[in-house]
Amino acid sequence: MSVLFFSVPIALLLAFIFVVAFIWSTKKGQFDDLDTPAHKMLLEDEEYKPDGNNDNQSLDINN
Amino acid sequence: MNTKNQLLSCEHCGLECLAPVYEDDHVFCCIGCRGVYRLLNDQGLSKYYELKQESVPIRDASPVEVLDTQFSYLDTIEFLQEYTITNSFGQPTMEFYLEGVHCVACLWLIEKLPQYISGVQSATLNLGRSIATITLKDGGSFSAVASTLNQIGYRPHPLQNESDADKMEKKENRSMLIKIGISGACAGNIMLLAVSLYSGVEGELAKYFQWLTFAISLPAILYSATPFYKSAWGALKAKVISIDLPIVIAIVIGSLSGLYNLSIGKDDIYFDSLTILIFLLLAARYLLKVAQQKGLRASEASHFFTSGATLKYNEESKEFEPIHAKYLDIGDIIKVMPSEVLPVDGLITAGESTINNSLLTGESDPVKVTKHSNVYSGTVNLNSPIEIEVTNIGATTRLGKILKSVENSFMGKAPIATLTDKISEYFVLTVLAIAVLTFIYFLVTQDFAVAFNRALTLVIITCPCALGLATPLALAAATSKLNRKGTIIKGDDVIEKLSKAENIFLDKTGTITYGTFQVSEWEDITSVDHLKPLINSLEKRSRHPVAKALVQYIEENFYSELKIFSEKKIEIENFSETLGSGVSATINQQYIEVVALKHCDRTAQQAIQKKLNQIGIYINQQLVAKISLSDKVRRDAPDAIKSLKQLGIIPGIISGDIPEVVETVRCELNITSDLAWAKISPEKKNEIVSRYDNAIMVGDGANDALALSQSFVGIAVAGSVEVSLRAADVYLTSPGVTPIVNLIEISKESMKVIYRNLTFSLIYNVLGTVLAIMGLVTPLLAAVLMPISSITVIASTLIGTNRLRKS
Repeated sequence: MSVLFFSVPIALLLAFIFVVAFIWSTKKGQFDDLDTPAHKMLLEDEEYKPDGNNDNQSLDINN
Repeated sequence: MNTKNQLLSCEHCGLECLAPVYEDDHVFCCIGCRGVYRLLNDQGLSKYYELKQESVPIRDASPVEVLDTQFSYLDTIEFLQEYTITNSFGQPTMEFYLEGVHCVACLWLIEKLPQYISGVQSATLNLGRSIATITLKDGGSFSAVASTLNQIGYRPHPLQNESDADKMEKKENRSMLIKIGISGACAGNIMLLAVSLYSGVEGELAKYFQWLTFAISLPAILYSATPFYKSAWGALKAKVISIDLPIVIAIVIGSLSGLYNLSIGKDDIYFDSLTILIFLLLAARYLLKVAQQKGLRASEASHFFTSGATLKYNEESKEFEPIHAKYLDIGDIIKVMPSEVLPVDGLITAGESTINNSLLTGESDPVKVTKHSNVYSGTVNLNSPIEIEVTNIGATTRLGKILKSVENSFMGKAPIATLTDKISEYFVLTVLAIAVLTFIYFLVTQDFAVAFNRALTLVIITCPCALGLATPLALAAATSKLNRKGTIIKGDDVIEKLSKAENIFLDKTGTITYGTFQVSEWEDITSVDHLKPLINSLEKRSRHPVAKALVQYIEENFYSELKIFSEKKIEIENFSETLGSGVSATINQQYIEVVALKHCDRTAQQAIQKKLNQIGIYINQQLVAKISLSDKVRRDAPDAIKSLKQLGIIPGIISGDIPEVVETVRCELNITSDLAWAKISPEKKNEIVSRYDNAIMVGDGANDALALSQSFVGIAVAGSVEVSLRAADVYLTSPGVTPIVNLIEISKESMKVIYRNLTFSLIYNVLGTVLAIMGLVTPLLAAVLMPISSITVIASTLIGTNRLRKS
């Protein structure tokens, strides 16, 4: 059972990393709007362009 | 209505079409919707309709109103400074509240903006709040964006930069979420260790686990629980015992004694229970807060704007130019178009029209105004354009003054001591008293260690779960249910107050009645072929409320006749409208007039009534039909009043209108005559309401605002003016009286759930107290008993509000 002295801290470290990630994403405002993303995911994938800048620049060329 | 079965539904907004317009095989309810359809098709955006069919609307759609609004004021430098923020690339960003956003297809359409308007960098939409955030790149203009949005049926209203209060709120929400996240992570991890402790880990490993649970609980106790410490301390300083005090006592004493026991090697440590408690309490509060803010934000945003652009006369260019209403000054000349709300008080310098005063004074009939008439902000221009010299702006207008007194009285309104407040006071005192008695008893009969231990266990085990946890949960369930129904609650205590209401006073115009003219009687004197369709096409050209009433009546009752007729051609010539009289035109070589009934055609009784309430249709000077118009009682009002009585609430009417009208309405609704008042001034309304205990006031106009703000609970109905919305505790966004009945029913039901939870928690606490005094509480029992009591109240809330959440 002495392996627990080693594995439990590692599990807690893992939990700590996720908590940090959560704090970061909250501060970035990812949880400010909880309604829209739920609907957004229903729209088809082709509409999704992760980077708004690229999206528009490619459109500029088309124009 | 039996004709409804055959009605087609509009391809764009989905409403039933009373007078359909066509485009190829597609049907629309109005020209506005068809216009949007064309525009979207031209832009290659017809996918909107595919998406729309698959999605469930989050709120009802409505037909598109074509409004000729000008947005060039959005590009002026002073406006941009106040309404935009600049991102790190130097691109300006503005937020718009959009009317008419209702489903995923709208989301898709708005976020596609960069594709069909050049100059837009990005567009995102918050579907819950109906707020679009638009960022421009070089060469873009906000007026172009706004007018496109307007054309596709989402009327945009620019929102001012976030105020400090908004920013604070956002920050607070985020920090609350972080606290919940941390306490949740601690609670989850601590449980893993606690389970092995309870199931019998021994020796060194047990010591190790116990210290670990202590370490893991620290972030929750020292950081996540800070809101409880702060508010309990704040309440104590104000010499009040709040619900947070027993929570803080449990946390502090629990962790200190846990730490002491840990250091001397005893098993009674409570860190796991405390951490889970903190997590659950925070989460319940957060849910309630989110439910409240959601409704509030949406409604507040939609009423931030009393007006958008106003046409101001420019001395230099000799033309009227659009400007935002807030930049108007005394002495400016402005032009107000039909169906616009007046942004200022002023004096008419040119033009004549009729004005709807009902929101300011409660009068149901439109008032005729000509040159030199005084007009007031907040009233609606009905007929034709008028030019106004501004005499008062902002706070010095009549509306502004009412607003001021409402705000003063609102600040003076003392919050009631809610059930939770009262019970937590008793709770704390009782628990502390029993703890002290226990301590003394065992100190005398046994020794100090036993006495101290049992008193301590008692304090920890009697935890106010139901108060801190179940009450906010039940309130959150009720609040979000009401939100979905279109009723918005402004405070924590409103639901409890509503469940206690004894009297309800309703304003007449706009609340019990529709607030507009309705056809109450149509008498054909001689039969004329297709009279109704003819009148319909004629009156559609007028904006007068009487014309609107006639069109509405014909479309609702003679739909099939209209449909047959719609294929024929009619030619309207020489259309003319005389103010205060009616309209006339030559249709198919016949001279048709729809005017106030001529004096010789009136009966003796009709002669004394108001002119515009009796309308005659004349063809070639021959009377063919008589129509009576009045402001009708809403269809659902009689039933709703009956249900209110069944709920034990006594209804009454307080109106600013003339006694005859009030008397008719009173009889129709079966309200006792000593509870109906007519011709009541705003100040007097307030006085009457305050004479009764626990009285609800329901109203819409500025004349109700004072009464709304000072009543026990103020309810502002759909279509209310901004000042009433600010004064009220509850907003209804769907029309009619029935939402009030629902509101009260839901309040009573949720209070029932809350009372049941309190009973459960009382039973647990009595049980816990007895066990603690007898010294039977082992760490294992405490660990089982505490979560079980929490789970019971949560389950009871969920079951109790099940009906609320589903229906």
